[in-house]
Amino acid sequence: MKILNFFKAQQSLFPLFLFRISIALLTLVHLFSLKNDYDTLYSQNGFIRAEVNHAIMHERVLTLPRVYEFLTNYIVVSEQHFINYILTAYTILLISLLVGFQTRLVAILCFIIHGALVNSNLILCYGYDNFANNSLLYCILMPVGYYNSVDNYLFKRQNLKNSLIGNISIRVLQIHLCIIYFMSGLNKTFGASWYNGEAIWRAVMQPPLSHIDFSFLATYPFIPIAIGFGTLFIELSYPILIWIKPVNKYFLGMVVLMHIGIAVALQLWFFAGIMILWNLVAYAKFPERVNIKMPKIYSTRRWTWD
Amino acid sequence: MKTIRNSFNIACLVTILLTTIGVNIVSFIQRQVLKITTTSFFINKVDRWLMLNEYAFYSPNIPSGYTMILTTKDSNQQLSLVPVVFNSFEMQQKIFSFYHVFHQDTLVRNIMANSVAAYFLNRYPALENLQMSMFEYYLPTIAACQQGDKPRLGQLYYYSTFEHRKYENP
Repeated sequence: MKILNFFKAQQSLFPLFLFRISIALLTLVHLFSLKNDYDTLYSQNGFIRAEVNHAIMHERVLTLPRVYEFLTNYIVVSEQHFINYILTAYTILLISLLVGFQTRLVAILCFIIHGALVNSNLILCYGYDNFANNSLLYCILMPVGYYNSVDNYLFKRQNLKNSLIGNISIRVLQIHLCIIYFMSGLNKTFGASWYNGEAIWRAVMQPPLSHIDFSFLATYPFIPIAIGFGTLFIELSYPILIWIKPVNKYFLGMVVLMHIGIAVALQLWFFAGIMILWNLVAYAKFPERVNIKMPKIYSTRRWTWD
Repeated sequence: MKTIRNSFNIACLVTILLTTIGVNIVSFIQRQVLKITTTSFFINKVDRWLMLNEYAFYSPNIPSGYTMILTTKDSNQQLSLVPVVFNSFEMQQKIFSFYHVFHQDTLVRNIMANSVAAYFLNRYPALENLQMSMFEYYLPTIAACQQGDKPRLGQLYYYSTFEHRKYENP
């Protein structure tokens, strides 16, 4: 019964609205950040050739080169134009997700296209791509469009303050984060390099990541050791401290700071961004209701389910 | 209808949650119990860097900062390093996550080397042929660094056994 109460606890839908707009924005920025390398990433003759990429995945997995190959049976279009069309459509869909127009349908299409883009260069993917994929999947399943969306305006719906599925959604995000932080911390405890500072030292000193000169850390070895222990502490204690009322907001601040540190030191801006976003959506305290002013319409319908 | 959709969504969310738990536990067992990992990458005191050795290509205009390096011979037959910079910063991050492929067995490594070589042959029209090599990047421990040891390019780790040549698609 306590578990049911945990899922039923009243939550504002504002965090899910924030989730929708920030995921859409972050994905858009990420897409534009790669704009000069679309051919390198997605074409058949890209950095990882399509036949090599296809050799490591099931023949029915959706990739851009496969879609292009299929389409060329029916229409004549250059590969570069095809990639541009797909990415333009993806951009429009992400903007639709951002404003909440046909939110669920658009989220499904975004998820499919994003999946195809990721599959087209699977070997080059890292943590950000997986989290973006998860986020778009959550945008399909969670009621992210029931609050401050164009859908509400067009279909004359009032902003829903909260709902059972909304409560469950936020709980799912919270539990998801607890699992991944704890397991990540548990994995790190088995590596000696996290206790003697070597893990931090090696991470910040690797050439492609060493945009800032961290060689001074060798003079002050207690700094990487402290950061290593701090990371272990944050990740292992995350599932406990994030729930304890007096300390949770400070702990959330520490988590956000940790990710800002990762962004600055390792240049993983998008990964840090999406992790901070998930943390804020799941655990930050937001006002009960924030309505974006839209032109007045007569609301005749109100969401009633749940 | 809404109740059905609601129930479906909740079922999906619970499934995702259970899958996340499952995947994390399996991953943990793989890494820590079965030792199916890439931790050797971290235990070794070296990182691997891909270098493309080329014989007749020189591009002085590529800016500094590198992800990959083309080593070229200039007019005096001296080797010089030309850093390869991708157009977007995020692309460089993606390339960095690619290096683990070269820890795989010979076949995988050769296939990937071919793919990368073909990309560079396409990208640089002046490039006629190239060979792939990979160097260890020596990064000393904190203690060694305190005693004056410095990070540097280490020994040759992998050298492709054949030249990659430009070819025309039939």
